Amino acid sequence: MGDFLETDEKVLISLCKRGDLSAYDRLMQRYEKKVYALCFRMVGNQDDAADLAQEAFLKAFRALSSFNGQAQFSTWLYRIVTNTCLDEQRRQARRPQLLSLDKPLNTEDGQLLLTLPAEASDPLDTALSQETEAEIKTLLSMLPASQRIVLVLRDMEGYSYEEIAQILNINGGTVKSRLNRARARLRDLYLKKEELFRPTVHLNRKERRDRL
Amino acid sequence: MSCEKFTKNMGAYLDCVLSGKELSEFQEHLSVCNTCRQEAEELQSMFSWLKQAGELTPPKDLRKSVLAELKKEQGRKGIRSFPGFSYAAPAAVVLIMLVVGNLSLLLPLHVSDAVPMRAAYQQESGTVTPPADAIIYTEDSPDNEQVSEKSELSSEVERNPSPRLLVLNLVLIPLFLFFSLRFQQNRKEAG
Repeated sequence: MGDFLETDEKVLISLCKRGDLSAYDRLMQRYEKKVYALCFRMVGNQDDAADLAQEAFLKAFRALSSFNGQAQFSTWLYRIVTNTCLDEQRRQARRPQLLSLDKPLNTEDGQLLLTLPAEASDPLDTALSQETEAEIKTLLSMLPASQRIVLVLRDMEGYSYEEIAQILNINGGTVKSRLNRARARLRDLYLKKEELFRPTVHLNRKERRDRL
Repeated sequence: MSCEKFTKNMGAYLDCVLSGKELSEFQEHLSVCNTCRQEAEELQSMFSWLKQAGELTPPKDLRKSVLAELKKEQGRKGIRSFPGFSYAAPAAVVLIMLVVGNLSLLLPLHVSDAVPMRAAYQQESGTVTPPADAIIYTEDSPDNEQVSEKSELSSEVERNPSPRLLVLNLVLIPLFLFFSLRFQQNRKEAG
């Protein structure tokens, strides 16, 4: 069965290389879920995730002629996806900082967290706690992108160390150390999350005076 | 206590990729070190928290919008796939520039400058002798000296368009090469 799928994928890829879009549709169908999930875990919102997934699929199609079948197609595709995500993070980091809903705002009177009600999701997904989902999203966004991607790939998407090394084009040792750092950092945030998620709004001094 | 060595292996242990001696040493250490045990427990608890993350469904129109964009690109490429298109477009532009440039150089010279000059020369010398012949007579009379100056002038005017055209072409040809390279680059970037 696995062999059949692999052969089938090779056929699809060679059709795509000749410009067959319906073949690419089928290829995308196989990977869209994982591609989108990866993008969502990296950016934390549906609109940006959809944009990134679309961009990655476009890039992949345009670059297909350079895919020589030496690597697994999935690995090759995820590398494009992760690069697209990391590029976007870099671009955002260069942009002037806007008020972020994901990051606590450092003010004179301490950290100010803006919390919004979790986005409405599919009513069928009743098992999913929206609160947890929002927490995960927020805490992940507090990790540096290079650590977040390793943690998402390993602990959320379940890739092996070797696969991650191939996707990110780094060696196994780097995967290990980066993953250790990412986990340690997320664990610290996770242990503090009760604190972090208490909706706190600090008033500035003047307002406080006025109230008293 | 040398926890450092063990913390390095914490990830591998939790991912169940630790084996043999390393695994037994790690387990032994966990049984005696509270700090490391606590860390392992905290990480385990974090993993189960992460596992609660729901499955994500991509937007329904994701593939559709990718395909629409690719179809557009293929349409554009259809015209461009004609061999030599990348040269044809800038070549056409440069050709038009050449024609216009040459005409603007040639026409006014014949109409406004060259013709009156030649007329003036003919009036003074009273003949239709070509300038080359006129030069032969320069030693003979002071009149002819003037004529020779004028004949040089008029022949210069006639010779002038070619160096100017040369300069014009020397400017336009690199321009053509530059544009065709740019076109090719754009094409490559577009995939």
